[in-house]
Amino acid sequence: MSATAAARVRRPGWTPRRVVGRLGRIVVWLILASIALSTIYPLLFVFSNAFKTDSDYQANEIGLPPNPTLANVQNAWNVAEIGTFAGHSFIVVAASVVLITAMSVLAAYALTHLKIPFRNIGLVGVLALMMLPTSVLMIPMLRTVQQIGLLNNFLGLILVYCALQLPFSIYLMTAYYRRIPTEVIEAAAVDGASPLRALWSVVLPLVRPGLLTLATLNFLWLWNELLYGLLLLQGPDKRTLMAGLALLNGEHTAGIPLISAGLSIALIPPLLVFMFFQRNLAEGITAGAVK
Amino acid sequence: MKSHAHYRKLPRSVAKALAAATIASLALAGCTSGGTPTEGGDRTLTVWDFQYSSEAWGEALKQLDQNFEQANPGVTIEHVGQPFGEYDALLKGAFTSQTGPDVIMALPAAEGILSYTSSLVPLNDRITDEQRNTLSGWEPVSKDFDPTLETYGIPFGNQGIVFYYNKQLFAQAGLDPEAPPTTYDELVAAAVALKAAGITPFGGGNVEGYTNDWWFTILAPSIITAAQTFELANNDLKFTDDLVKVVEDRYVDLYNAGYFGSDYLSLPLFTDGVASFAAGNEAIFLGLPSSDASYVQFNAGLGEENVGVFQAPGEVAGEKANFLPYSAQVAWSITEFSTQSDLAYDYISYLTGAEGAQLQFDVGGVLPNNSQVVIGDSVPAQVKQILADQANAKQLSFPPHGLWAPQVSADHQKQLNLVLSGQISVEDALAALQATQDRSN
Amino acid sequence: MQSSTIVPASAEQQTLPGRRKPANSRRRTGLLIAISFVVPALAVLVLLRIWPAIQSILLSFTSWDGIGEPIIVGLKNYDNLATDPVFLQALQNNLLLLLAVPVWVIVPFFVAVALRSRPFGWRVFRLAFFVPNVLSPVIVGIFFSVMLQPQGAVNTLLRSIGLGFITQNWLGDPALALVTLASVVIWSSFGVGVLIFLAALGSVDDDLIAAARLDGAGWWRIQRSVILWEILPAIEFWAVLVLISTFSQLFPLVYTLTRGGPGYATYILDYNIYQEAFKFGNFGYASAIGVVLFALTLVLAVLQIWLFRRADK
Repeated sequence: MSATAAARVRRPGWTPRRVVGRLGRIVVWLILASIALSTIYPLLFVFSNAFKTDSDYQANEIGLPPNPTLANVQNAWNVAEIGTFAGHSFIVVAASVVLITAMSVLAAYALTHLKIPFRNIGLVGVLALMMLPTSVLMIPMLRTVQQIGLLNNFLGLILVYCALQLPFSIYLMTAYYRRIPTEVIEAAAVDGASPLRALWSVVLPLVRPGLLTLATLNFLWLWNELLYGLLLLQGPDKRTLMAGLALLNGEHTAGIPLISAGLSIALIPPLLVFMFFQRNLAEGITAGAVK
Repeated sequence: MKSHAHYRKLPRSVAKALAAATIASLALAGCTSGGTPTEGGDRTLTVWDFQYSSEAWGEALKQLDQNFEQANPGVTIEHVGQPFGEYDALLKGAFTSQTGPDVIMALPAAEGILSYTSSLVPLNDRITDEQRNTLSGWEPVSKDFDPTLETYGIPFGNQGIVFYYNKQLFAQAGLDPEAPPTTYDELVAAAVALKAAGITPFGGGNVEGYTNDWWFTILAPSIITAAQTFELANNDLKFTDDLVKVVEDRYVDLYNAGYFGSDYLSLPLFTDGVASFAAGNEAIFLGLPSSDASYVQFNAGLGEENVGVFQAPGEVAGEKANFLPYSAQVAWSITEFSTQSDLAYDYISYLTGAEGAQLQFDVGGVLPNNSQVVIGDSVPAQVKQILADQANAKQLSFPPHGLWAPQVSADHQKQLNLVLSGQISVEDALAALQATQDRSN
Repeated sequence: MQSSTIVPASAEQQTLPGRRKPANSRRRTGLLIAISFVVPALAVLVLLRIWPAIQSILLSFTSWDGIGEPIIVGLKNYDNLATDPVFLQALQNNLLLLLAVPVWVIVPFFVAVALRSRPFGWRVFRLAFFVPNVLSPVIVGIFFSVMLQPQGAVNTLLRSIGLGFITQNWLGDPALALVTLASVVIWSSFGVGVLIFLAALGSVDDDLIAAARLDGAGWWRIQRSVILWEILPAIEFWAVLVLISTFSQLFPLVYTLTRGGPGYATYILDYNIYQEAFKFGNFGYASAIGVVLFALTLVLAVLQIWLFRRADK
């Protein structure tokens, strides 16, 4: 028992200090609770508006739908072909996440624990790459993708997504790798285990939660990505979900209820991924946090 | 804390699943390559359209596409709807990579077709006399607005800026519902009466800034001539000129007098502003004759007999405005990298021809620019009136704000919003705007 | 402090056979293998990031509409930038946003500290704070543009609890819009910071804290002297991320929430680039802005890391 706890036991009752402490804790809890409400409410907002008619929405933007209707959801699913587009998005994002994870796991490991030349430049370079503003690179990237013949091809978008997320992913993985004491690496290496073996059997399990965190973050970010998906997959036979929703959100067409219906459908995979991995997320940064 | 099992390898099942997923995705990705199939006599025409997701318009176009395919066996029309907000980016992407559509829908004039003419096929050789004679709106799709020079698209539709008003609310304020304002002073008088009766005179939403442009266009015809609007776009007439200032002052005065709704500056026009007027919250709405801020929505909300229309006001009672702002709504063009320009031209001729225009008018409610279209008796009263007003106008000319370069237009929207929110004066805004115009040359 | 995740050295060693190759070739194959780890990522990055970046830098010296051939104009774009009020305003906005960086770092820190004392439902809170990261910028943009209307939910709420005098035109007032934008940005990403700080705090040695308490240090003193230093690496990690995000990750939110308005109040450089390139067809000019933006980010990030490294000594 710590010193203050012991002190507390000696002096029971409502001392001024104790009351202030209590009040302070309550105030803090209230603040936390209001923040939490504010972060959760958008979910409610999107889901409840999806079931309102336009006039219902005009009447009350923030409340629950008085007469829930499925019309918007059906509309969004059929007219906007959301089912198909979601499938496209899933293909692209899943493949991208797998590739990004694999590539960054390897590259970051080499940069932190293997003796390759130009290691420091590499680390600095990764940071620098994160600073490149994406909108200015769009057109040159588009030209390059077209020149290698991968425009309007899922693979083209997948590679672009890899390029977009690799710097951050490598950066994050190096942070995790650094936490592993070199003794562990050396212990595995001494025995003649190849770096790959060492990585796979020894290091990866240590950073596995971090891996999952990275994968989740990448999934969330790429699932919600709009512009590159729109530019690189020009036709409806490959369109991503966000691009399809942009159609709904067309300047001249939909009201909030219809858009919300589309967005609600689009929200489900990220929410599922989040729910599934949230435990890992929380502990992913904890476990392996030797320091 | 986790047990020793924590640092064994990744569970075999997970590893297998991941590997399978990657391989599957990559295989799928590799298999589905882009490009149009060209086996035998089968041809596919890819068409990009930013109005396709609009119900009525899309409906009409689907039918037309079917008709065209039937009349041309072996041809498939791949009609792709694109989001309007990102359309510019998409077009630039297509032009830059020289891949994409054969046919595109474009906005007319500088905000659209005239800013990427180097990627479009000039159509002069293909345009028939019949097309020249039956279609109006060739100027905004031609170089320098001169149809004798290169023409880059076939114009379609009849669009402009027009006032709508709620007859019931007018009556409530003691105004004659059949005698809407014809001059700026009458407009102000109507606003005064409406406000006194507790009704918000002007509706609309201006968070995007479009209505700043529209108000300029609707108030300009009483002060400046059509020719002068071209001078303004060409930087021969300056934004800092007195004529321009009068127009802007009139708009700003209306706002400062409190005749707009309190959330005018924070409401989006599409669709909140439109919806609000359609729900009967305001008396007058500055809208479009065709498509999404038009009689279509308002008749649905307020009832056809309750929706009135009036044109750009003149300067003096009894005298018409110098011109009415109407011209082509969109243009259909052929991309320079298309390998099927002949087929593409047949297609866009069909869309803009008698049959196409008629169907789009009947089903899609698009006001025609084709003189062969038959206006039946059962069309809404507003349509009849708009067309009659156009026939009676002194002149029809392209809406002035559409003549401006995109940066000037964007800056105009922002500067005026700064004026309305009290940050700067009209003079300062116009000076900044003129600087932008100078720089864009 | 040593968690239970360290592999005891003995477990794997005995199972691996040890036929050793001559040292030199082993080193060479070792090097080859190590390089092969980096090659895939490097290939993708060179092709799709570095090469386009070089192209952009070259383009910044040209005038190009995206379609025809670029025309070389030397330093003209940079000249024009110096006198372009829109660019200068965007630059100013980005620099002002730097002021949000400390807040962006402090807020998650304090939330994490608050959560450390395990108040009731802290796990739910931790979950809830991460939700904004799941939402797409479109949702965040739509949500807040509805909520922050002058007659919208936020102001109505304030009025209903008697705080009517603080209501503002959050998105429409040019003086306030940037602050509102920064707040929304922080709201939508602080959950990650909370997790990072929670982890870092969790690894702080309890003995150190106990020792400090025995020395008579109060809560604030402990935070300042002990904890901050212990978790400095985590703070640095998050701060660098935040700084970079300020310059290159705000585009989606500005695009959906304010479109740079009202007026040019929330016009940021990234948005400026997009407008110039895609709306106005000035790719060369947009590339020049991009170069400036990149240089700015680089300088500031280096500065920030240097400061952190110095503090660490």
